[in-house]
Amino acid sequence: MTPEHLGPADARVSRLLEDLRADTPEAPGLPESIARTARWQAPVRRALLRAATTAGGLADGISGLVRGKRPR
Amino acid sequence: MTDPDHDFVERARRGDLPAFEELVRRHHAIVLRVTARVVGEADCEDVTQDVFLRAFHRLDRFRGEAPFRAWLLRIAHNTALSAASGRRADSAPWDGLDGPDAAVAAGTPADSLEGRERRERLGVKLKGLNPEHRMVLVLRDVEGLTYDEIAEVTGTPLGSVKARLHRARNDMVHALRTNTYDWELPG
Repeated sequence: MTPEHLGPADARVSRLLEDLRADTPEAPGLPESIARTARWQAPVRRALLRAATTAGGLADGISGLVRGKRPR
Repeated sequence: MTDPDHDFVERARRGDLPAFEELVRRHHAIVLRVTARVVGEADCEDVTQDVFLRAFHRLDRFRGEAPFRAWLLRIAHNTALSAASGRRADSAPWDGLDGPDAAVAAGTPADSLEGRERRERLGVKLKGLNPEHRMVLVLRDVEGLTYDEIAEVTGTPLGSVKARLHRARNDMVHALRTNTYDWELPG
């Protein structure tokens, strides 16, 4: 922590709160669960991004064609 | 200062999942603690999972201007406050009263029991603060972040961080003074 000048009561509160770092909620298996989800989401996301890029390209192409055919 | 997570972040950005898993292992405890103080123990696991998956899918947007931990905690801050604002009325921020070792507390040494009781009571008092104030107090006094890091995490100017922290500590001192428990607060 960077040094700071606290009044006696504030300093006491700060010290009391520091003890709360010892209380981490238990979440057995959480890192593994996150990793599993990331594993299946990664390829799905890539596929969705590719599909979105393709759809965007198609939309641009169609839009260009429609504009090109529009009577002047 | 070099970010200790730099290599793992770079590898994870290139799609190296074991590198991302290492980042999860390194930081899941602090994300759990911070989110639990905002959304409660019942929801902190889901919120933590959400935080890491958001980070995973946004890694390509991470510019490395701040350390990875600060960037991750910013996602945690936004996700937790957003979840808290839409939270069910019956779900309260974690006060430690339903903590995992509560059931086995009996039989532990007296000092340990007293320390646990004090932390539980403190958690209840912390719960009374508004979520933004609670967040800066948790980041500073519980997790030991610097003012600069808190400004980065909360997306708040440094002056506002200091003001918010000052207000939060005052609220906390007031809350502890109006209590029968002896917090040994100087006058």
